[in-house]
Amino acid sequence: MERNGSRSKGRKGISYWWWKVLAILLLVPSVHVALHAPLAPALVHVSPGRVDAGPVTFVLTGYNTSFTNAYQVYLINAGERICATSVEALDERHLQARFDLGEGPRESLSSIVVHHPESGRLGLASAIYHGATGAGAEGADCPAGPSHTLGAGSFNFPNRSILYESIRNLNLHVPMWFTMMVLMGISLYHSLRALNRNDLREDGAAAAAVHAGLLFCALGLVTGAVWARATWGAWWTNDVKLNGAAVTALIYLAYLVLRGSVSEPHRRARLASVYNIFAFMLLVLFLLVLPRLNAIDSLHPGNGGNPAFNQYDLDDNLRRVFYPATAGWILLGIWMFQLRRRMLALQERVEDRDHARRSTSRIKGQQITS
Amino acid sequence: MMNLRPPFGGILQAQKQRHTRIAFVALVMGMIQSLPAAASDAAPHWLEDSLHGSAKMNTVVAVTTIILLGIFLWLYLQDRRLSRMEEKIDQGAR
Repeated sequence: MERNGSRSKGRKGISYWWWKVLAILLLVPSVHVALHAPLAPALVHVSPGRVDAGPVTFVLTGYNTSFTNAYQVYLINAGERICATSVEALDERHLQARFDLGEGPRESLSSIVVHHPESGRLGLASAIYHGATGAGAEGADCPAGPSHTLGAGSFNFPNRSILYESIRNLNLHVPMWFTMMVLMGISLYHSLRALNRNDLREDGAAAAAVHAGLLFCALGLVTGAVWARATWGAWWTNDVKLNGAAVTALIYLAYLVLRGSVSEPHRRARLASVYNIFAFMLLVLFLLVLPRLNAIDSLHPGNGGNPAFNQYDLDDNLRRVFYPATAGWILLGIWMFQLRRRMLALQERVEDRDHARRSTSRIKGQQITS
Repeated sequence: MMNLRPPFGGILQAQKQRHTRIAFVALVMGMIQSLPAAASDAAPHWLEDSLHGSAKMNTVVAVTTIILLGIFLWLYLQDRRLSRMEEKIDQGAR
């Protein structure tokens, strides 16, 4: 990757292309699956949510379900099961279940469970509020159903309330930040080399990496804002991770402004490289350390004391898509950085040549006049 | 004055700085604008409906579109820069 492809002549070999092809091979299928894999079946709604004593009829709404009359329904109240007297599938997503609650169950909140003897079960906790409570209902001895969840065997994404289909964004939004961090790390590497070797090309490479990294940072911020609007109800919240990301973006924008404001190349390279070291330290602090402190609450999963990617945060099927997607986005980011770097290097060479040509012609002119 | 010009080229340098400044100001403005939005959260109905539609699949569509648009915008900017370089090389050849 470090090889400067613009130097070699003729057609590029396999070592030049393989990781770019790998980027495509990782990205295309992972994005396809990220958008296409079904969500696990879930019970999303029960109506009415509030009932009194006596016979009642509930309509249960499922998501990605295929209800039939073979499904059974029961309520869980005070540890006992209250079975439906009759269950009828209205269509694949709706079940109608009749209950006789008698004088009313013992506790005021019931959970509801739908199950198929073979396929599995679905539940909705604390779904029903009872206005009247009594001695408990009759007929509390119905089968509990299988212990596994409906759709547990097949490839699907977890169906979480509030998130629903937007859980797919994990495979789109989060890799933006991973790519940004990798590019900023590459930029730091080149800045250190620029300081070490006093090499202007390394400084140019560092700037190119920051440029590409800022694109992914901007994409991460905007996609995050849209996802936040749909999930948390606001484009921007005072979450530590959000504010940290915004500050990081400003720090790196300031890097470009700083680089643009110094005209002497060697001075610019030194200043920008030293600044970049501090910028990367702040990135690590704002994006990786600060959001994970125990004392700080964060809306982001895996923050506020927990390490990210523990077994509760990320489902295995999501992982199978998330890791290749992240690797693909990182390779694409590196590709973009390399294009930018080579373009800037080319521009520099052209301008150096013009500069040299101009000064030689000036010297010739002086010789003629003198 | 002409001799003091950096080898990166004064015009390109100025244009690059201007773009960076515009992006900088836009981001700060966006952050300032978002502050009252976070405080009073009265969302327009159409937005709620469109983002939450199809079990929030529309949010995924919006995110995918933004990423594609962002990459295309980046490609456009690089393309324009290359065109300027090509013009410069053509001028130098003459």
